[in-house]
Amino acid sequence: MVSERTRWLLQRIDELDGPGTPLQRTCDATLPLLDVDAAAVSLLARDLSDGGIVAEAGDGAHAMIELQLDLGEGPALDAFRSQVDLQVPDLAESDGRWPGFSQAALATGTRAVFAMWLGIGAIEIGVLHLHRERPGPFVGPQAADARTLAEMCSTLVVDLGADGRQSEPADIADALLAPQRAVVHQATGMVSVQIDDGLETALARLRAYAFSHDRSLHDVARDVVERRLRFER
Amino acid sequence: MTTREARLNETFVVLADTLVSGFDLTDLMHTLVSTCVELLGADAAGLLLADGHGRLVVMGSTDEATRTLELFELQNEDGPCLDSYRTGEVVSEPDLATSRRWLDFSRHAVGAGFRAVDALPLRIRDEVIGALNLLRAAAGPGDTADIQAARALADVAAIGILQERLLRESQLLAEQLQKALTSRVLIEQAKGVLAEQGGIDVAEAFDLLRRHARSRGRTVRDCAQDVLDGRLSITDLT
Repeated sequence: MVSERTRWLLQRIDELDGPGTPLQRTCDATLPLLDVDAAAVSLLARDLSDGGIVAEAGDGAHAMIELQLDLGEGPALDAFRSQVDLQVPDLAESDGRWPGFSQAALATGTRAVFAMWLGIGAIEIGVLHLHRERPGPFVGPQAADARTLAEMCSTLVVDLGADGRQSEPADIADALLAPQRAVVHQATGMVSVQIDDGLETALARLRAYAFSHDRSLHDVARDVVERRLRFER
Repeated sequence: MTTREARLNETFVVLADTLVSGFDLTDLMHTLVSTCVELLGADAAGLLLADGHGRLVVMGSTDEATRTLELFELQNEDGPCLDSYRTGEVVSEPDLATSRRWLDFSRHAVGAGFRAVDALPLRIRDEVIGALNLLRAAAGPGDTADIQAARALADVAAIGILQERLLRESQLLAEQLQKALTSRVLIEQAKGVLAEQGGIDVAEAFDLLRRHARSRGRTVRDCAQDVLDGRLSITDLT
């Protein structure tokens, strides 16, 4: 039931012999195996309201995920929403599909982005995000390998819950999810009361403010929660 | 190759296929028991799987007659399937009429028209998950080749069943993970709403929310949802 190629991939991952959990090592292995500069395995809430990095390799992948969650746009979110694998060989030619994300990502020198949906059966749990400075799509077996590696990651993420160390999924979520995202949700709640409107509108206001003041959503949220910033109706 | 052999090979292929592609557990179990009757000399066959409490439950049977089903059920107290399940070994009895084993089961089996029995364990390495019960009307030992073939089928079925179980457990875990993620968002948002309504900080807001949930015997998540839906406000908590 395990294909030749899968066996080959597992052997390569084994050979890399790094420290860390099987999930971390699989994440590390994507860099040489798929010829990318950075990778991140991220949990994502079904409605994309939250997420958390559970494994990361190379530079800047974490920031790429946070950026997409902050902006509410990006290939990782699209791949997750549609349960597909997305290749963006060159952000510079992505036709304004993700204007905010593309601009910020290109500014870091990233040209190629790949996003593989993670799930168990039909239940989505997150995304495997990869990026590279050199533009260009996956070649040869890379696309199929990326899918296989994504499936391995899915199994390993869920394994984190089954290994006895963290038995409650809520504990997994708490342990894995970045505490700094909490502040964004708190600010959303506060602003919704301040402007006397719904949570989505409140978040949109926060995002718009962050964009027009060229600040991160997290910084703006912190100002709101620490009462240095108020919004009006 | 005889017709029987050809058909048996085909059965193996079908079973192996289910492990790789779209998996239907009911289908698998039905294929297994009906093959035992059609090709392997059994007059009735039943598949029993152990539930969470180690109780053997009939999951597939070639014979829906109550008397036959009862025969399977009886073995939870005493019987060849129970022995096979516990030992992980094949348990056979060529003549239930004269045997002194499993008195209750033997009596019922003979009364239902079965004189001989074989119970094969469903196992993967050290784990036994159930038993395959073959019943024959005529007394006498089962054909060795038949029993061997039935064992091989049982092994393939065991893998499929275990695989399906693992998939279900993983899916459950994945769902719980999703729920935990969205719960966290709701709770943080509710903290913000309450903090703004009451002019207090989020930590205090959380305390009030938790206390309210505890005193009402409700989850924090449900109360948080109420806050976001406008059914619960800071004045209700202070």
